This record gives sequence, structure tokens and C-alpha cells, in this order.
Amino acid sequence: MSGYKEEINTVVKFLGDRIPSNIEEMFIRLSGISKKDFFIVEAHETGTVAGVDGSNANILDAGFLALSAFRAVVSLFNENQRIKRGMTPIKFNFIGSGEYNDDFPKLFNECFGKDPGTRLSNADPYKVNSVVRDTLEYFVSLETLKTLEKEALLLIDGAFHVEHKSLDPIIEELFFRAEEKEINICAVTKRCEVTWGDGYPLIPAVMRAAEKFNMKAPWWIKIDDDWISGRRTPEWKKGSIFITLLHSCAKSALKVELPRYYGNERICKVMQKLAAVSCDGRIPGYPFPLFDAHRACAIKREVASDIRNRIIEGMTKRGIQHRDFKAVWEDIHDEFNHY
Amino acid sequence: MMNLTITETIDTAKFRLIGKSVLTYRFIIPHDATLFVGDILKIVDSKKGYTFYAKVTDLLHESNFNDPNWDTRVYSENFFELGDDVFLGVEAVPLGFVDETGEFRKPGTVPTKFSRVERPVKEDFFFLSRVMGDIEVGTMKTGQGTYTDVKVAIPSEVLSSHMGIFATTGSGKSNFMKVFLSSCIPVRKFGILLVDPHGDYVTGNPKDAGSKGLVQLRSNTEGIAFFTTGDEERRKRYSMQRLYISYEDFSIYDLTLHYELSSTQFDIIETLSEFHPTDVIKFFQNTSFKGWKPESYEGGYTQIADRLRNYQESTLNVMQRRIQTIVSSQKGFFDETRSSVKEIIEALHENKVVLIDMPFMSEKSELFALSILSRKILRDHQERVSGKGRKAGEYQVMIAIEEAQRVLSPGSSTKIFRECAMEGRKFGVGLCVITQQPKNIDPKILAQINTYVVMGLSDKADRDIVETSAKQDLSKMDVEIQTLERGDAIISTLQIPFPISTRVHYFEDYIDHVKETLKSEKNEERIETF
Repeated sequence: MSGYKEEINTVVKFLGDRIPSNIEEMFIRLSGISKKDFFIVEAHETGTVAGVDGSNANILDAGFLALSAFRAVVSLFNENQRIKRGMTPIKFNFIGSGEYNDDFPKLFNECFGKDPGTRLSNADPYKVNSVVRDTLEYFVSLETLKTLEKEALLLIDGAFHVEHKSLDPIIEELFFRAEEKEINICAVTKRCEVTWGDGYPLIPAVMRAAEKFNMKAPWWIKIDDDWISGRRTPEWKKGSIFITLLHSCAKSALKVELPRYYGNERICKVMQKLAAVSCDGRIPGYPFPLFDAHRACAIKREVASDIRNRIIEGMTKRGIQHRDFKAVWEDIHDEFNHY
Repeated sequence: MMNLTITETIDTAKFRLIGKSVLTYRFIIPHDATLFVGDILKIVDSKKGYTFYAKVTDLLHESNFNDPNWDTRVYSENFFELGDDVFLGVEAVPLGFVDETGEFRKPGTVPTKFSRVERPVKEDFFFLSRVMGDIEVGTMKTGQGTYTDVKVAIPSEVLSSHMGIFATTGSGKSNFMKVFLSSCIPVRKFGILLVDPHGDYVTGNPKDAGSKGLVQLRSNTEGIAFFTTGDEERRKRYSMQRLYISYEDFSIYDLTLHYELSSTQFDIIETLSEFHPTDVIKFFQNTSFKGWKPESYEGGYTQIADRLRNYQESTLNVMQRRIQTIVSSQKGFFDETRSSVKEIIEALHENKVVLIDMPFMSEKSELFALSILSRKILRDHQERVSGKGRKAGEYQVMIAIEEAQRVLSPGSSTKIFRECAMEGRKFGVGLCVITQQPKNIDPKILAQINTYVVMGLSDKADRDIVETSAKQDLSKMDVEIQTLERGDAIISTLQIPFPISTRVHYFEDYIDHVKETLKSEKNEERIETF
């Protein structure tokens, strides 16, 4: 058995291998890109930009049954001033011991007025949370589209890549409604999971290549699907991938997605607006409307605690003893944390 | 159906009381809101039906962000919707509250959480008019502005408990004194004596052509009297009386004002204190101490000579020189027989403002005159109180001492001023202690002062001593005291429930108002006489 030091060394080697020192050269070789594939973004007035984000928080977890809370928010900005915020109520979802999630069809119906068509498996709680959160985000996005006018930009946190078949037609409808009103839509990822080659991360490779070509932010580059490795469910993938560095002080480039049918001129317009809303001194390089939506949306510890207390209060009124509640829901780690 | 609720964007967190205790209030305001230290705000407690008042003592940049250093690593000049989480924290000191009956009470409770914080209007200060005094000095100041309808007036009744005016050079203390003195004239509740060594108070600052003096009120009132050491032309021009202080008014102890005395010299003073001062002066003027032998003395003051038999020739020569110097340096007003002291005291007892004009006289002459006059006033009052059928406080006199640290410092206070400060109140004698170095005033004397007029004080030690000595807590107003502008003052006195920030009237403008007041009073008198 290897010791602690060896374990660390193994981890360091593994991680180091993911970002080799010549990663940009490797990426340039694989992709065949040159400086002309990078586009400089010109400053542009922002007009109307809406940011949609969703969040979830674990409320109770008994192993055999977990309860999570969800909500989604839109923040609408015009010329970098917030016009309004819209918020869904907090919704709950149980992940029980049954094979399929019972709450998802109800939520789907509530959001879109129809049955999801495909059931959602409880096998992967992470995926359940992700699908439920996306459901609320798409609902908010569709509602927001109704209020936006031509030339507005709708930013959605995440990717145009659904994780459940039921959401595939929803995203199609989202694209359709946006096209109908000549509104641009764009998905922005907080954390880029996309890799290339033998599993190398995309962002550092592109950033290093941009540096090599002496690119000055803001810039963007389109990523060809063929360069990407480890693609899941490609049939549910609706967007083209771009990497963009939106501000000279940005700590990192972002992965954004645009509908596949956007031409170069439209892409440039979207990127110009993205850069124009990504110059806040606190988080340069990240679109502020999304940051604003994220802050409003996040179900923080005190909100989760309030939800738990209300549940306990309700159960007490129904005659369920607190001792029994604790026996089921309280994690012994909570006790451990006292010491 | 799922719905998307538009959330309220009105900011309900700002201008709501969120803390802290009975003695400290706290609330937040937008990060770009304009508020000043010294601003008075009202806190409307609709639950209890009280209106609280508080004065802003500090403003702090604060935020809700987790990272306390977020603002030291910003990357661009753009900040969108910063006001959501970035704000100004406001610290305020409670002044008191108006209860449901309209009575103003000291802060003995806290406003209900989230009570609304508002800017008061002039009507909110109606309660103050009931507690304000009768000697108007200015208007109430709030931060950078003033409530011109809220007059600040010091109650004349509290002035026998002494007043302190603490101000550095250029902060407007001469202007304050001129306004104060001119407001005393129509009120006529007490006499006030001020020695003016530079003519500022009498005729205005000679270096400033626009400056006016109290002499301008001469024709409007009999409530002011001027005595001068100036020349004939000045005396006639301003209708002033000539100031005389006679040898008889002198006390041999007055030598201590002018000289540091050795213990032997002080012994001589003690010895000579039982003789008439005129005799002492004349003895020293007419005696040669060369080869001093008291038994061979042939002058008219044998008793004095006899008492000085044990002293050395050299010591007596020093004493002689000093007495002669005093006589010669004060020759403009120090006279063998003539004295204005009686007239001055009479004028003071008629509750007049008495200005002693001493242009071109030395600082020593000023102190010489002031100490003699102060002693005569105090003794007069003491005798009246000890006399049969006399009441304490029959007459009230205030004596103003400029640069008071010269005579009221710890350890070396001049006896007569110290006596006035410690015991004067019993006899109707109050001091107006004017100094730019309060730290150099004996704390025991500061503790006797009940009315504090604090103008700009840049020295921390000066501020500390004033803040801790005042009868009302001024310590939370330290930032305001530091940032007071010229002509602004914080006035703390017993009858007014909290320290009032004041924009002192500008004398050159205010004098016309005083003239009008005096004119209308004269008219009223005529009607009554008729």
C-alpha cells in the first residue's frame, strides 16, 4: 500500500498530465487553428439583456429519501441597469427509493402544461437535480421571451445540451420562440466540462493558444465538434461551442453556446453584447445579468434552514414527534459537528 | 400552473433603524446618498407613537459581500447595481425622543426595530423652542445645512454657572462673543465684563475694513458701557469713559500676575498685604534701600519700614523695581486717586455689557486691569451677601477672560480667577472662560463650567478634555467637532436637552437685527411711559 506522500504525488502527476506544458501546441496541432480563427470583439451598447439562472439545495436526506428545493430567476437589464427581476416559487422534489421520480412529471406539467413523455430515473440524484433545475430555467426562459423585444439577448446559465429526453422539445421550442421574435439566445457555462484529445481541458488550451497568437481580450473562437472528446448524448446537443475571453481582467475564458444556425454576423453581435455586459469591476469577464440572477436565485443556508423549520413545525402540528423526525432525518454528522 | 413572480425592486432596507442600543443607533443608506456628520435625523416609531431624534456621528462604507476585501481588488471602473449590497453604515447618537404628549425626554428606550429614519422639518423642532434660552447666538445646524427658523439661544439663568468657549484661532470665537454680547443687551439679565486688548470687540477688527464692533450699538441702547485707556480722540469719537484704576484698587498680590516671585519676595507680599496699597506703593516710590536700616527710616510709612526690617537690601530693591515698573507701565490708567471701578460695578449691576477698551496696551496691562476688576467685583458681591438683608444672587455678573489658560492653568492659576471659578456662583459671579487650549485649563475649573461652546478644535488632547468635562456627553461628537467649519459651534448647556450644533450668526449681519430689537423695545417703553 502506498503512503500519503505517494498518493499526493500520484494525484499531482495525474492532474499535471491533464495540462501539459505544451498544451497549446498540442491543441493547435489537433485543431489546426491559427490567429485568424480568433475574433476580436468590438465594444457595443448592450441594449436589453436578460439572465436566467436556477438553483437547488438539499433540505433533508435520510438516505432512502431526499428532499431538495429549487427555484429559478430572471434578471432583466437594459444598458446595464436592472429593470426587473422575476422568480419562480420554491419547488420541492423528493428522490425516493422508487425507480422513477414522482415529482418531476407534476413539475413538468405545471411548467409546460403537458406530460414529459419520458420518466426520470431516480438512479442518479445529481442528474435528477440537474434536470429539475433545467426544467425551471427553461420555464423562466420561455416566460421571459414573451416580454422581450427584437434584438434583445437572453442568457441562460448552462448549456444547450439537455440531460433528459423530455427537455429536448422544450429547448427546441425555446429556439423557435426566440427566432420568432428575433431575439438572440446564448448559454453560458460557469464550469466547462468539455475536453479534447485524451481528456485535456478545453479552456486552458484555448487561452494558451490565444496568448501564443498574442490575442488581446475580448476575443472569441468557435470550437469544432470534431475536436471535442467524450461527448454524451450528442442527439440532445443543440448548440455550437465557443470559447471567449470577455474582459482583459477576466480570470478565465468562458464556454458559451449559441444555436447552431447562427451565422458569423449574428455571433459577433451576441459576443459584442456579452462583452459589454461583462465589465463589472467585481467579476470582469462574466455577464453581469447572469451574476445578478445567480445571487437572487441561490437558496442559501438560511433559506434552507427556514424551510426545514417550517417542515418541522408542520409535522409537529400533525402530531409527529420531533424525536421521530430526528430519528429519520437527522444526520449523525450534525452531532459530530458540535465537537 | 407555474408562475413567474416579478419581485419588488423597491429597497426597503435603507433608512430603517437596525441597531444597536439605547445609546447608539445604526441604519444603512444608499452608498451614494448624501448625509453629513452632524446631520440630525428623526426616527419615527409608529408602533410606540414616539419620535426619536439622533445625530449622525459617523459614516462607513459597508457591504453584504462575504469577502471583506472585495473593494480592494476591483478590476474595472464599472459597477452595476452596486447599491443592492453596497451601502453606507450610519452611526448616530440618540438625542432623545418626543413622547405621545409632545414632551421631549432623554433617550431611555430604543425605537422599534426597522423604524423609519427621516430628515426632520422645522416643525419637528417645535419642542426645542420651549427649552431654548433668551440669549440668541445662531441657528440650528444639521450637517452642512441649517434650520434658519430654529434659533439657538443660551439661557441666561445658567450663566452664573460659568461658560466656556473653546476654539482655535480663526474658528470664529470673536464673532461668537460679539453676537453673544450684543444679544445680552436687550435681555439685560446680568452684567458682563470684557477686557478688549485689541479693540476687536469695541470697534471691530482694525485689519478688516468690513468688520464692525459693539460700539455701533452705542446710540441704540444704554445697555452697553465703554471704558477706555485710549487717547482723547478715540474716547470722544466713540463716546467712551476714561478708565482709571486707583492705587487703592491695587492689591500687592497683583504682583504675582506679572512676576515669578521667590519665597522671600512672596513673604514680603504677605507681610505688606495688611497695609493700604496706596501706602505700600508710595513707600516703595519714595524710599531708598541703599544700606537699608529701618531704624533710620524717616519717611511717613514707619510701620511698613518696621515690618520690612528683616529683609535684605537687594530683595527690597527688586520689590521696589517691580512696583515702580507696574506703576509706570500702567500709567495710562493706573492713577493715585482716580478710579472707574465703582462706575464699572454699577454698570454691571444695571445688567449692562461693560467693555474695557485697552488699545495698544500690553498683555500684562490687560491682565492687571482684569484681575483688579474681577477682585473688586467678587469682593463687592461677597460683602453684599454677608451684609444684612442682602440675598445671594441679587446681582449677576459674568467676567470674560480671553486666553484663559494664562490665568487658569493647573498649578499656577491666578488666585482671584480661581476663586471666581470655584466660589463665584454663590455670589452671582460667573466666568466666561475663552481659550484655544482647554487642555491647559485646570480640570477642576472645567468641571465647574456648565455651558460649553465648542468651536473648531484640531488638537486631540484639547478635544478629549472638553468632551469628557462637558455636562452632556460630547465624546460621540468628536468627528463633528473635528470637522466644524468656521463660525459653527456645538453648544452644550444644562437647560437644552442635548448638545446643539449651531451656525453662529455673522455679527456684521446680526447687528442690524439687534438694532431693530432695541428700537422696538424703546418704542414699547415710550408707550408704557406715556
